[in-house]
Amino acid sequence: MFQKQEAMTNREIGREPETIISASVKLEGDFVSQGNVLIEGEVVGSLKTEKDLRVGERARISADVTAASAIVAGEVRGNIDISDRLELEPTAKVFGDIRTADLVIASGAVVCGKITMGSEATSTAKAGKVGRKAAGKNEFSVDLDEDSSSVEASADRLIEGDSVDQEETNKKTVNAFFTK
Amino acid sequence: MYFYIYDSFLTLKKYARTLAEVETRLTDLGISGKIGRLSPFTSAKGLIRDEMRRGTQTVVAVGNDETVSKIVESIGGEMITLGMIPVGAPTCIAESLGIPYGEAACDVLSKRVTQRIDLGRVNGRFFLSSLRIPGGRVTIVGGDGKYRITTPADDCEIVVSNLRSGEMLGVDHETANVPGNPMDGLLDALIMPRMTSLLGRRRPLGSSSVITLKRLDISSDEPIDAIADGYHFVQEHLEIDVVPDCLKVITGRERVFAR
Repeated sequence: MFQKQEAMTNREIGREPETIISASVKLEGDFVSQGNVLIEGEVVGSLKTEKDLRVGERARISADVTAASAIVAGEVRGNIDISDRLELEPTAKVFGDIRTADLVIASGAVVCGKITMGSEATSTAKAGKVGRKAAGKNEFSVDLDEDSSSVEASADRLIEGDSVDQEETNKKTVNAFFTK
Repeated sequence: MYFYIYDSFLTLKKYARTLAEVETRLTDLGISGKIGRLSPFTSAKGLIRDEMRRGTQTVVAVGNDETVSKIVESIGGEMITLGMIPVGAPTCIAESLGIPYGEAACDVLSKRVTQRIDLGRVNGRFFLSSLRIPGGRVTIVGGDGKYRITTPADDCEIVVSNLRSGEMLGVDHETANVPGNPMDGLLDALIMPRMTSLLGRRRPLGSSSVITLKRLDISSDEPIDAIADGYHFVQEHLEIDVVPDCLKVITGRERVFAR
């Protein structure tokens, strides 16, 4: 009886799957994972994980990326959709739009695309609504143009109905540093 | 009722003493049973089929990894419990299951702690530990055909692992060294660079890839040389999947999974 219980427990807990694509390997197509993913090689297509993603310094990704959180040190050509936190390291190069709840960009990182931030941004994307109208939320949008090295930032706040206290409660502090 | 299958190499004189100790211990523990011997003219499948008709519910492999492989291939999917008494070499599968060498394995058998584990299957043949493809440029198709992985060159080895054993230690990535769990309904595909000897130390030429999946196809322009649990074969195309809860196996306390 006790042996059976032990086996059940182990199966229920399971193991956290771990995927590693090393530097010399090329992955093409739509890759979906339920665990943490580390990319050091080449990925072409789309990449989706329910957990964390790390893109190594030598990695080259030509794919739309979706993850819970991500640390990017390599090159990503495609849109990045992160539900929690995205960190771009000094060697990171992103050519595509970024949608994330929380963003850290280190000095030296290159971003060419539109950045949409805020706690509601990712949920809006999940619902398939890419509009910018939302009640009681903050939306932060940054456009970076690589050729002109210009940075345009605009914060749109569309508050409907609720009081200013509600707005303050929902306000998100963003520590983002852009250096070209 | 226990049915013991001795591999053919155990007729060598150097194993006579170990076998005598094992048989004495089995008698002391009251778990002795019928013995079948493999030979070039006697297959494990035939022996097991006959014993199943007589009501045998536990088959014990006496020998090395290849012995276990022959028996697993025969009893995969059947309502039979597998036990092991490791004799000879290599015995990595038994080590992973926490079963000690020789006479000491009899005590593990008598305690009869069982686990229901997954088996891998390659082109219809079951494997317990791993499938190895020593070299060659191959293409791996996973995720029901949704993605494709191309290996770099001939200088890498591919291992599809259900229960990872000590033979794989030494791979650079920590994940590759973590024993695979044969109770998770998944296989691990490892793409490992060849090892090189530099100044007497064996090192990998690059880093390893690890992909976790339920099913994969491996193809190549040339026939693929593969080894499943020590059994060597050549095929044009490999269809590999995991069969969950496929085998009931007797394990020891020192097993590397489900502790």
